[in-house]
Amino acid sequence: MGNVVLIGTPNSGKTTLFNWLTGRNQKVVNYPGSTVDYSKGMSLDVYGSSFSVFDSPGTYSLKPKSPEEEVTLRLLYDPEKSFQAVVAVVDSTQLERQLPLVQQLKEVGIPVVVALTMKDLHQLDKREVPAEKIEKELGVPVVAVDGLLGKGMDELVLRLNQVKSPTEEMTVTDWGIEKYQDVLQGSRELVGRIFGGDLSVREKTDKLDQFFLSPVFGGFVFCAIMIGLFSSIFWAATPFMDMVDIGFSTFADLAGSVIVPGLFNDFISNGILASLGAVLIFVPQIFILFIGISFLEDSGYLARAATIVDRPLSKVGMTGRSFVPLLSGFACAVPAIMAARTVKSPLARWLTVFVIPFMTCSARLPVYALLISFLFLGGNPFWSGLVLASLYIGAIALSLISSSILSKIVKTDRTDSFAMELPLYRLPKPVHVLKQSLRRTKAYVFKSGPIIFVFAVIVWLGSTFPHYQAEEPFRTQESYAAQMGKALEPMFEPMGVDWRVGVGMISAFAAREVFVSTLAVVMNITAEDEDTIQESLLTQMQEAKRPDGEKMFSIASVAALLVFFMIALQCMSTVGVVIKEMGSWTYGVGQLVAMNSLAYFLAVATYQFLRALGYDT
Amino acid sequence: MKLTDLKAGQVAHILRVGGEDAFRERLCELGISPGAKVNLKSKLPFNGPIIMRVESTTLALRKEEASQVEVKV
Repeated sequence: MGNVVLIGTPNSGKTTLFNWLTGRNQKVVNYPGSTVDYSKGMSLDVYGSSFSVFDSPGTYSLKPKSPEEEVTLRLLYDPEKSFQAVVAVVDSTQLERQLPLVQQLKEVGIPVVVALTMKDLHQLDKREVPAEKIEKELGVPVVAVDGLLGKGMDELVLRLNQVKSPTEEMTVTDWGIEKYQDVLQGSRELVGRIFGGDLSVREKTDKLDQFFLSPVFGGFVFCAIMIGLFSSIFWAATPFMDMVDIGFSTFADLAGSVIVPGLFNDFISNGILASLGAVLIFVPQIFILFIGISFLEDSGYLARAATIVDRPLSKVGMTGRSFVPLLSGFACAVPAIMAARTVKSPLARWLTVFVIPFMTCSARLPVYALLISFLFLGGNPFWSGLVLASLYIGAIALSLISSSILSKIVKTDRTDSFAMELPLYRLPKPVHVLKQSLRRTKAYVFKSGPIIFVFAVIVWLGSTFPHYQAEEPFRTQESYAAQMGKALEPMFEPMGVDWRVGVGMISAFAAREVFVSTLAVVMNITAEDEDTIQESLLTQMQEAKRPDGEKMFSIASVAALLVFFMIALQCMSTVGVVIKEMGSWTYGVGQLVAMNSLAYFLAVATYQFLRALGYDT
Repeated sequence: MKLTDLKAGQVAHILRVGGEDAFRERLCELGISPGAKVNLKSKLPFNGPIIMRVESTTLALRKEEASQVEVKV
């Protein structure tokens, strides 16, 4: 047998089925629209026959209404794939709504086998899924499968092997609205005949919704969950961050003492280890945020959260569907922008992609953490928390204001809507949540790791040569990096900083977190005197002087830097994915220029304002 | 009456869905079409979306869109 494709509505259990068939451990989520590209795998040997399985993004019908539904349609009709069979994946707890898609698939000309999922949920109500009866009604093979235990997979493969050949020409179905409504009514009657009434398994979900979606408390519960999520990034991560920091400094010390003193020693301990340590320290925070998002995703709450924020977001041109992409933006803008494909209304999608980079992504945290700990050195952690919270809230406020202004200017299709299916609440499986968070964190580390490494090397080379044999501070101050920074200094002067910070800000365009590692290199940090790299960097910052002899890092200049990093779009991966997703260079470059100009002007304004108030000492 | 006129907890049957074909098709995909049984669960404040059960599915729908749906108790 050749190729087989899985097609079904979002959340129907396609990906679980795909994993059972191919053994590939791919993600399964409890939120509509999570598979944005299709996946491919080979069937496992245990099934006795070898065929390729394709998992498609969820679609409600064969008339695509969003970019991800188009992926499915293109895949199904792709002549090169020449599918031998379609597995129509149908959630058996929502049979009546999913059968019209099966009817449409039957018209295409590729043999259809129906896989009924969510069998376990019926068994909770001590009810069987009568696959034979449904098969008789539909006239195509129907197999009930169990996503938890993998039961029914052998039979599914057996039935797939028995299908006839596809027709020569594929038919493109195009139902009118009357036909669709008739088929849907027919499906309801069919379900009535087979199950004799309501087949709902939603009692528990209805009770929970009375609480989570209550007109009075719903909003408060939402706020509490979000505050809990974001505060956990900090309190839960601190012990792990300390561990990473101490580990890296010990490692750097060790390398410094083992390797023969000289250029190579300096390269390893100050160039590589110090830079990596300064950045990897934030991995625990990223991991914890991913755990929170995965947990909410698997529990079914994310769709409710999207519903709750639909009204407020609609005021600025977006919709509730923008919520999940925006929330993911707090971890990393790149997957968030891809997730914006699930935003169906064109204007809302345009705006969502535009404001996602405002969200405080994990790459900003290293920079914030360094600058904020400098502001409140040894002081009350309450104030640090307050500043951090204001940076988060400030970024959200700016994104809403920008969206609101842009929604009035942008010329794009304005059909606007919000309709969303709310999945069943389920208790998330800890193993699944952990695996998924680990996978996402790994993706982040492997994406940013090489960039950080390459830039650490470039910055180290730039700040060590040409006078590599000279004594400090002459070596750094006359280096290539310093020369470039000094040439650009007039640009940074209005923000109250000198070329060293300038070099950091330029290198941050590779990835924001590179700012910290660059600063560590150009400030010539060694972990010799202090316990940790972080402490040693803070000490250097306190002593740093501007050319005019004033302290470089004052309240005013650090605040300006914070404002700059809060707004600026300094991530080339983001620009790349925006151009790809929006299919427009103008959009990507426009966004880059707009956000960075805004960042620069507001940062300069902040510095000059605070300086006028006397905070520049 | 309109779907939006239902009170929380009320059950009704859908009579007619107004609006353009594309909109009616989208609602069909969610299971909303003449003949379906709806149970209004909740209305979010400040004219927010309404939450309802349509046959075996729970859905959220913007008020403006829900007002296109005619129902009979």
